[in-house]
Amino acid sequence: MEKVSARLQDNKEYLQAEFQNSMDFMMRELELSGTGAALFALDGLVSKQTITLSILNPLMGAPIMPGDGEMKLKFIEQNVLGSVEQKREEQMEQILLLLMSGFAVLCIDGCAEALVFGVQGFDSRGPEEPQNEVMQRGAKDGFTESYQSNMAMIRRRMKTTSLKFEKAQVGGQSHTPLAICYLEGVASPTVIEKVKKRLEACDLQTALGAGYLVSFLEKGGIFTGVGMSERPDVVCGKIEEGRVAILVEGTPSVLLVPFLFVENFQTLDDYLTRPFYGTFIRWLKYLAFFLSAFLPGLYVAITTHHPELLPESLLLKIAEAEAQTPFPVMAETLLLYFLYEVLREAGLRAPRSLSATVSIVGGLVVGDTAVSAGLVSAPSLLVVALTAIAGYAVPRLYEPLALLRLAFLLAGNFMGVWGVMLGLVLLLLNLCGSESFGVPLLSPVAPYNGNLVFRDVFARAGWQKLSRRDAKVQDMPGSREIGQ
Amino acid sequence: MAKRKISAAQFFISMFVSRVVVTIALNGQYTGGENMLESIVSYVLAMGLGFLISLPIWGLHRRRPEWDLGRAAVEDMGFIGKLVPLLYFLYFVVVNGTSLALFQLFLMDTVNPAFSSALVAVVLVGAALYGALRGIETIARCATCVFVLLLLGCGLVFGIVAWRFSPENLEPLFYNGLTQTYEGVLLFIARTSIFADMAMLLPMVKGRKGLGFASWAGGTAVFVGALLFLVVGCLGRYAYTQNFPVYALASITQVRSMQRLDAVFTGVWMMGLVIKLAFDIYCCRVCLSAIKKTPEESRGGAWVSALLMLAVALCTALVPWTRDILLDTRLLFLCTVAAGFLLPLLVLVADLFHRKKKPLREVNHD
Repeated sequence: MEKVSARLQDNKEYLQAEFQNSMDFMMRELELSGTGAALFALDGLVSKQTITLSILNPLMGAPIMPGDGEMKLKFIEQNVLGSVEQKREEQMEQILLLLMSGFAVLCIDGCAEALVFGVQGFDSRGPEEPQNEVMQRGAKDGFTESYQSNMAMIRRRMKTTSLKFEKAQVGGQSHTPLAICYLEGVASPTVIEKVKKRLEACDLQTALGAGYLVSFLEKGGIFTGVGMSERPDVVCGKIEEGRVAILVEGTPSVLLVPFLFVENFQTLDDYLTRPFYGTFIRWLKYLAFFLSAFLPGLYVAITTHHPELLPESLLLKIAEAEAQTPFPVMAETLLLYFLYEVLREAGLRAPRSLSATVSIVGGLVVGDTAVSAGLVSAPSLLVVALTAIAGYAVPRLYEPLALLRLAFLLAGNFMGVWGVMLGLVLLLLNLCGSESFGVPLLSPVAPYNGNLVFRDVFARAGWQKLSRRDAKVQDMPGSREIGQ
Repeated sequence: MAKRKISAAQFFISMFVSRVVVTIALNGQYTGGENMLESIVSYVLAMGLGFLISLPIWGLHRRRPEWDLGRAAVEDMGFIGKLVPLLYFLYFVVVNGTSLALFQLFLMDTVNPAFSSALVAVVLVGAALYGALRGIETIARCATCVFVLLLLGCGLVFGIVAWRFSPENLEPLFYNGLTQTYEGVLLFIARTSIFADMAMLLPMVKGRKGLGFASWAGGTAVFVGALLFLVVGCLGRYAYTQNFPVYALASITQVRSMQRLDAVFTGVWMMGLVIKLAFDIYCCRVCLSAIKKTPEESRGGAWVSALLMLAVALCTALVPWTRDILLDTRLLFLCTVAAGFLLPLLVLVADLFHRKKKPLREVNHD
C-alpha cells in the first residue's frame, strides 16, 4: 500500500497521476516559513469558502513556524488550524478516498504524513415528505441522500447512548459509505454480526443504492426478508424492537433487518389511531392482499371450471357479457392485466407533464372503448381494476404480488379452484420455509404465538398493552439461536 | 448447524391434517356396512387400539430419544438392521401412493374435471416434494396454516348442512351385529400412518409428546364422529350409495351467494394431501439417511420416494388388479401393524440385548 512520501514533489506527482484528465482536481501550492506545501481538493465536493476562511487564511497569516516539515505539520495541527474534522493520514489510498469524499489534504515537504480536513460543500436535498410512504398522521420529514443527515434524523428522535452507528463501506469502485445502526442491548449481537459479515461478503464494484445490497442480505424466496423505509419515525420504531438499520450514502431509504412478512401490513398510522380502527385497517389490508393476489385467478377459475359456485343471476350476467367478446376469460384477463401493468409503468416513467395524458388514454380510451367495442367484458375489467386498487393498499408487497397474481391466473385457468389452492399451498410452503436473519418470515403466525399475534398482527392492541412488554424481533417464536 | 425441531403441537396438528385427509375418502363399502354411524364406535375403538400399538414406539423413544427407529435399528442390529428403514421407506411409498390413488379415483369417478387426473397427481406430488425438500419445520408450519383453513372450511360446511340434519336418518347401532364395527376398526387402523411417522420423526419433536398423542386421538375422534354423524344425519341411506359421501355432503351445501362448495372442499382436501405427502416424503428422507448412516437427510431420497409414490398412485388408479391389492384393507392393516407395532417391538428387543452387551455409556451416540 502506497504511503505518503516525505518529498512533496513525489506526493504531487502521485496525486496528479491518479487524477490525470480529471478537471475537478485542484492543487494550491503554498510556502510555509520557507517550506513548500500543497493543498489538494476536488472541485464541487468541497466548500471553497470554508477552505479559504478556515485553512488558507489562517495558514497565510500564521507566524514563523520552527523546524522541519514534520514539526511544521505538528505546529499547524496544534496552533494554526482548528477544524472540527481534522486528522493525520499516511496511507495514500485513504487520502484518495477522503479527497473523493469532500476532504481537503495538506502535504508539507519533509513530512511523511498529510493533514486532512472535512470541508464538504456539495449541494444536498433537504428533508421532504416521503413520496412512497405517505402517512396521514405521521411526521412529514423523510430521509435524504446523505447518510449523515439520516443518522442525525434518527439521533434526534432517540436521545440515548445505546443508539450506535457503526461505519462500514461497500463497493470496490464506489467505496459507498454506510452506517449500521442499532440499539445496544436490544438488538441481537448475532444479527449485528451477520449483517456485518454479509456486507463484507458483498463483492459489488459500485453500490448506487440501498437496493443493491438487498440481495446480499436476504436468502431468496418470494417475499423479502429485508425491509426498506423512507421515514425516520418508522426506522426508530423498528430499531426499538431490536432490528438493525443500514443507512447507505446516496439513498433516501434505510434497510431494516430482520423483516417479517406481517410488517408489510403495518404502517405508522396504525399506531397513531385508536386500536379498534388500527385493527380494522389491518384487516382491510389483509383482505386487500388476498384480493390482489387471488381475485383474477379465482375469477378465471370459477368462470371457466366451476360456474356452479356462482349464484344464478351473477352467472347469467357474466355469461351474457362474455358472449359479446371474442376472447376466452383467461385471455381477456391476461390482456387487461398486461395492459394495466404497461400503463402503470408508463405513468411511472413518463415525464410529469405527460402523466395526465397517460391516465386519460389508459383509463378512458383503452378501458371504456375496449368494453364498448366488445373486445373485453366489463366484469373482467372490473376484476383487474379491483385487483390493481387492492394491490396499492399494501404497496410494500407490490413486486411479489405482480408475479403471484399472474401465477394464480395461470393456475386457475389450467386447474380451476384446485390450481389456485395448490398455488396457495406452495406459497405457504415458501413463506413458512423462509427466514430473515434466523427469524421465520411468517412468525408469529407460523410458528404461532397467541400473545404476539393478538398484540400486533390480527389485532392492534392499545398502547397500554403495547408498552407493557417490548416485543423484540429476535424473541419471535421459531427464531434460531439468536435471542436465546 | 441449524436445528431441526418442531413442537409437539405442530407435529400432532400435522398428523391431524393427515388423518382428516384419509377420513374424507371414507365410504360405506370400505367400512363394510350400511350404517356408517357404527364407524364412530369403530373409530373410538381404533384409537384405543392405537394406544396399544404405539407402546413399543414410545418404549424405544424413551430409551433412545435422540434416534429415529431406522437409526436405532441400524445401530442395534448392524447390517440386517438396514432392512428396517428400507421397509419403512416402502411402507411410506405404498401408503401415500394409495392415498393419492384414492384422490385420483375420486376425481375420475365423481368430479370428472376437464383436465387429466394424472396431471393433478403430478402437481400434488410436486408441491409435496417442494415442501419435503424445504424441511420438516417448513412442512409443520404450513400444516398449521392448512389446519386452520381445514377447520374453517369444515366448520363452514358443517354449519351450513347442519339444518338438513334429520334424526330419522339415524339407525340403531349394532342392528346387524358387530361385523361392521370390526371392519371399521381394521379400516381406521389400516388407513393411518401416524405410528410410522412417530417412529421416524419423534426425535425431531420437542415438548409434551404424550399429551399431543392423546389430544390427537381425542381431537380426531371428535372430528370423525361429528363428520360421520352429519353424513348419516343429512344423507341417510343415500350416503351408503356414494363412493365419497363426505363429498356428497359438501355438494349439497348452499350459502345464499354460493350454490355449491364442493370445489372448495376438494381444494382443502388437496391441501391436506400435500401436507400428508410432504411429511411422508420427508420420512423417506430420514429412512434413507438411516440406511446410509449420514446425519443429513438425503435430498435424492426425496426425489426417489416422490417418484415412487406417484408411480404407485398412477398404477393403483389406472390398473384394476393393482387397485384390488393395494387398496385391500386387510393388507394395509397388516402393513400398519407391522410398521407401528412389530418392527418397533423388534428394534426395542434388539436394543435391550444390545445394551445388555454394551453398557449405556459405551454406546456410540454420534
